[in-house]
Amino acid sequence: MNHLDELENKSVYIIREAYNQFKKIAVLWSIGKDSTTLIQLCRKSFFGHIPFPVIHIDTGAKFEEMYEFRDKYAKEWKLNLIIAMNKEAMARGVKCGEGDGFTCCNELKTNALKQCMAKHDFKALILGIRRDEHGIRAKERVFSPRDQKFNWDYKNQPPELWNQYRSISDDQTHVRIHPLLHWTEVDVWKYIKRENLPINKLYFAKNGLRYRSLGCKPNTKPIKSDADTVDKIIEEIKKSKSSERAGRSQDKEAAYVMQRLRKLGYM
Amino acid sequence: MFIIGLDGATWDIIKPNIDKLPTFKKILSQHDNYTISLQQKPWSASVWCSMFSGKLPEEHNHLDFVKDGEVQTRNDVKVDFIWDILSRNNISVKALNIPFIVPPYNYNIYFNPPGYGVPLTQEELNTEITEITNKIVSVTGDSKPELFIAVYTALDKMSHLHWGGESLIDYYIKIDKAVNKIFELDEKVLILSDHGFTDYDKAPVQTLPKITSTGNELKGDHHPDAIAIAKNIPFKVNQPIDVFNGLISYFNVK
Repeated sequence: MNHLDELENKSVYIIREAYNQFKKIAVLWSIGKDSTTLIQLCRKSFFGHIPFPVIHIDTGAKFEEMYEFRDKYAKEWKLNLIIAMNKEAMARGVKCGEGDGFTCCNELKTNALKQCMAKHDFKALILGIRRDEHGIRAKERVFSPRDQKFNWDYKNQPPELWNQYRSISDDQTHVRIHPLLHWTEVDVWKYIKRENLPINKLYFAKNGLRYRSLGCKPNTKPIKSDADTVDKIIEEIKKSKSSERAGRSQDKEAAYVMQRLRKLGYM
Repeated sequence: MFIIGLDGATWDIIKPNIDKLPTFKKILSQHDNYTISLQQKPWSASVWCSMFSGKLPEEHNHLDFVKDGEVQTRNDVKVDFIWDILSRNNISVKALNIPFIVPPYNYNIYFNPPGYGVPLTQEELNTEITEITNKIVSVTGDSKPELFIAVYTALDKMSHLHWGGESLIDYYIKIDKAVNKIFELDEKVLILSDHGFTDYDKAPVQTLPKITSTGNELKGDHHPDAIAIAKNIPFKVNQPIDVFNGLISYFNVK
């Protein structure tokens, strides 16, 4: 079995285990490469049709190309798509890219998801995060419980030794399931190539620039690159020494830090 | 060797209140102590960076926690630090909560700082002392490195917010108790600050605006006189870069 088969098998096992344990479950689709790979794995897990809803958290500030991609493939893959928007905050004038970067993320992403989870009473969420993406994610578990305030108590997590997962939840509000946790950025691109997966065109270089990671339009910058094919992207990442999210100005941790520094007067 | 950083600690609080600070009273009577009069600007990020990289601000070019609206990370600071160099030479080293960036940097040790490394509430400010002290005390036996550096950062925030107030003296008393718990953990101990403090209006540089975005008035700001207390330390620190240079020659590495 080659490396990609091993990764795929493990992910499919996790997705099936999750669906078996939680009937009130959904998968998050940000339209980026990781969650699109995750959607593909979910489709494979259930022979082409995903038996649970797919949630897209829409901040209203995604790239046009992302909306086009979402609508096209939601239809083609017959996804039960739920678009989660915090319309109440938007009506109050909260806009992505304005203010401290913390408020908009918190209102338009976290609170939009909270509202959506409460409305549909979801007990579990499948997400496409990977350990190699960000230092803070290195401590994540495959089955990761969240409390009522959505907080992640990383100091008190079930051990996951020898691929044994604690997939049963008792008192927590919901469990997050991370079937791609063991993948790397290069793995994802190699899998996209092998499966011939459609992927957003923003990832491919145009006029010397491409997006390596997709977020909200005001906070996402392209990187310098001539990689206009999947092969070239794989080669580029292998050589790259910068972080995958270098073009993303507001990672949550940086946003919290910035918010606190501002309280002390930093601009 | 053990280096304890006290961000913003000043003789101007310690000496007039020495009778309330029994640990400082004892160690000052027993060990070398002196003032480091900074020639570089007393900006925390920049001074800690010089101290552990041996580079002057114009060389490391890392002047503040935020540059062009972006919070700076380790990757933005293009220098090798003492822990990088010692590790390459197979000398064990740990660095805990080093505030040249926020959240402060950790090397070979895990620490989750209260308030994302910018403690602001009284609870966060107090918790930092306890958590750093507990972390230091927990490093024993085989995990104890040849060089251990740890920095208490909340004293700086406390001094900005409460300079001139009794609550700052109380905070120094807490620091004094913490130092009492850790000072005997090693034969060679160097306590130092990155700058001193003074009344906001008298400070030679203003590192922050007097009125913060939440409407609080800052009472204190940085002064270029920092402190040093040295127990069996074979080098003298006249300027921040001397810490790096002293360590390099003590451990005999390049």
